[in-house]
Amino acid sequence: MLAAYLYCPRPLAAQKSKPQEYEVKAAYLYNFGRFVEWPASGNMSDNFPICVLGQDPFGSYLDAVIAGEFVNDRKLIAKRIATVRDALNCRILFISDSESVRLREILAAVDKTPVLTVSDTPNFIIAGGMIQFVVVENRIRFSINLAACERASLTPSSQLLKVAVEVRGEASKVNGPS
Amino acid sequence: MSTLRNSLSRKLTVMNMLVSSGALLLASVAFFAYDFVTFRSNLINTTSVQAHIIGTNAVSPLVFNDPASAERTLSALRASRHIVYAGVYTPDGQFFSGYWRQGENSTPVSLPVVSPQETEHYWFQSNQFTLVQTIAFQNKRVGVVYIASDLGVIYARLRSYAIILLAILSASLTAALALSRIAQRAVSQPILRLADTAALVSREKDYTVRVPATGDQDEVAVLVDAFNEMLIEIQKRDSALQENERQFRNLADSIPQLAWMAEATGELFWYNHRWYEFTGTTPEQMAGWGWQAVHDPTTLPEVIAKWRASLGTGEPFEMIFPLRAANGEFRDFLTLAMPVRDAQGHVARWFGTNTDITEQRRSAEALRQTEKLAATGRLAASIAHEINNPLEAVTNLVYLARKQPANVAKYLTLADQELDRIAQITKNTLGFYRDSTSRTDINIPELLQEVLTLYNSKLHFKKITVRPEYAQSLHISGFPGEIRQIFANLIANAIEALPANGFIIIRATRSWIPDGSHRRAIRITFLDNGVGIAPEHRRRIFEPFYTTKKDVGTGLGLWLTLSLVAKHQGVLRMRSSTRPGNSWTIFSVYLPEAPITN
Repeated sequence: MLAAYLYCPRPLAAQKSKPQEYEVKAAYLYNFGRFVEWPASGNMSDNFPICVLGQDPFGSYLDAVIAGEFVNDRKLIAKRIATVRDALNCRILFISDSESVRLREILAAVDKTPVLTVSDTPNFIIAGGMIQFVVVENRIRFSINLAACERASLTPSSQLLKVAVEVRGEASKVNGPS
Repeated sequence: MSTLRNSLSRKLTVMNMLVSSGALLLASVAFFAYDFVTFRSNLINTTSVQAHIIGTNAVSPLVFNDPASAERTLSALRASRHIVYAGVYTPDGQFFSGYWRQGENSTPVSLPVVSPQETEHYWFQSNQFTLVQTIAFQNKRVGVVYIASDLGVIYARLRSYAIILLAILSASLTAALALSRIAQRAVSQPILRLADTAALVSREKDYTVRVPATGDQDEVAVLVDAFNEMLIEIQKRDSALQENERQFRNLADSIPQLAWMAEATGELFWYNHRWYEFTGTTPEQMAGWGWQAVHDPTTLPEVIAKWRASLGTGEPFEMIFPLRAANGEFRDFLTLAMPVRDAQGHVARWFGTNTDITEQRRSAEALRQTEKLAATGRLAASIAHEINNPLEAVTNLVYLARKQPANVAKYLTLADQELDRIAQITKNTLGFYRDSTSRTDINIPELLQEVLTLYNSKLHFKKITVRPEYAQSLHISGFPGEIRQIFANLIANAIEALPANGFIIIRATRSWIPDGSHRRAIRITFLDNGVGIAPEHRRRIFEPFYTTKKDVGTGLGLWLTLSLVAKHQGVLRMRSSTRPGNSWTIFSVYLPEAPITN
């Protein structure tokens, strides 16, 4: 075990080339799955599908991020879906910018079902979406609509809320320990 | 005896202080060590927990790339004053966010090399404690926490402990000192009183003092009682001893002799009154070896030599030497000194007396002169007798020569022979009373024969046979007149003791002085078969004025003989038997061939 792991000391300025925006967002999608609690209901499949509705901006990044990963012992799989009907079995649903015109329908379709809706469409959480990617100081971050999550019986951990840029519909619950 | 007082008190105090400071020190060190050890493990635990809390709270900031959030978490470490720096790093070791204690240089610390298997690693280095902990989330490494803690806190704490301990220690010791001063008094005070009294007794020789009772019933009280009883006993013995001493001195002052006592080393320390009266000296003059002042300088070396010899061997000292009286006259003293031995047999001191024997010596000398004159008188009678016979013969021969002129020549020749005999007797007689002053060589058989010629007619008259048995060449060195006197006395005694028809055997042989001195001697024995000397007389016949021949003897003959033999360093022995029909007497004279010269 001489090949000791090295925490390579490197000046901040010399970081490796900045990751692509959707590479980061793909990782975020995966990590949302780790910080959100789904209700223990029966209609869930054995795996953990992350679905992309509409035009897929991730390319191969999403598949690369989730390859061989598990959340709560469920294997992560990536699905590209065309209609919102296919989204009911998804755990996380990324709604592509291409679907912004049909956003209200889509959100209504998955209302009260335990599907975490994520998008980078502006005003997504105002429209009733759960997590919206935003860019703050060149950094990809996100805002959360807690009320929307609660309606869908999803519980984001306080850890997640802590790093959110904005938490909408905040309830007393989120102040509790994670 | 303030040193003893100080010593005992100090010892007790020191002992107390040692015990209390030792106990305190031990407790302090144990406390200190315990604190040090627990502080270390506490530091490790606390830091580990802190790292874990930070790690847990840094998971989402790491995952969602929010260093500001992690920083907020880290800033909570402000409460831990000893944390110098804390940092959160991404799994690949890049700095993510950090916390610096106020005043510290805000540059991120590079992570050291750590094995990925280790979830936690810590080390102490000089003044710093460092802990690195992996941040895991759902079995995945999401980052690393690094915490550096300043050990100065530990040291500051240890320092303040040390100061507190020192303060406690010195306060306790001061208190212990004060307490032990008080407490030790109970123990030391009675002992010190005892010691003071003992010191007073040994210094002042005052056995009337007593140690005051302590009032306790402890060992010291027993000691005090025992000491007091000892003092009472000593007092009793002391007064008994003083009484004995007083009696002894009275006795010593009442005897006519001079008396004195000397140390085992030979220094005289006491004389009786008579000594000071006689010598006219003072005790100061006589102290130590001052006695030499009253000795005759010519005999002093011998006295000192003999005195030292006695001191060396412990043998009694006996010597005659002169001492000077107050008027300057020397008188002869017979000095006897006996060693007084202690219980172990060592000579403790000497007790000596000097007896003035000047008068005795003078009277003894006078007696010897008297006996010599008496003996001369007796000899004169004997000589007259011896001469009478040849003189009668000459008278007869002269008468015959007148009557018978034809035979004149023959008678004159015979008369001449008789006159020669007379001349011989006269010559022998002269030898007797010529006091020789120097030793000359003496031929013993010749001298014996000369003496015998003086007794020829007596022997003839009593029909006594003399049988001489002499060995060859027997010579001694001595005074002829005195030896002649010895032989004459012993032969005359034998003749007087013998009845008619008795015999005398005179035997002269080589021998040794029978006193174990291995000196060569001539032994002359005179044996007669007379009546012998009765046992009750044997012991006394050598005393002066002792005689069994009531009207004829002076009683000085054998006494003089003995003294003459002694003068020649010889020995005189006598054996006798009074058994009827087989009685005899033997006188044996042992005369050394040469005198001892010192």
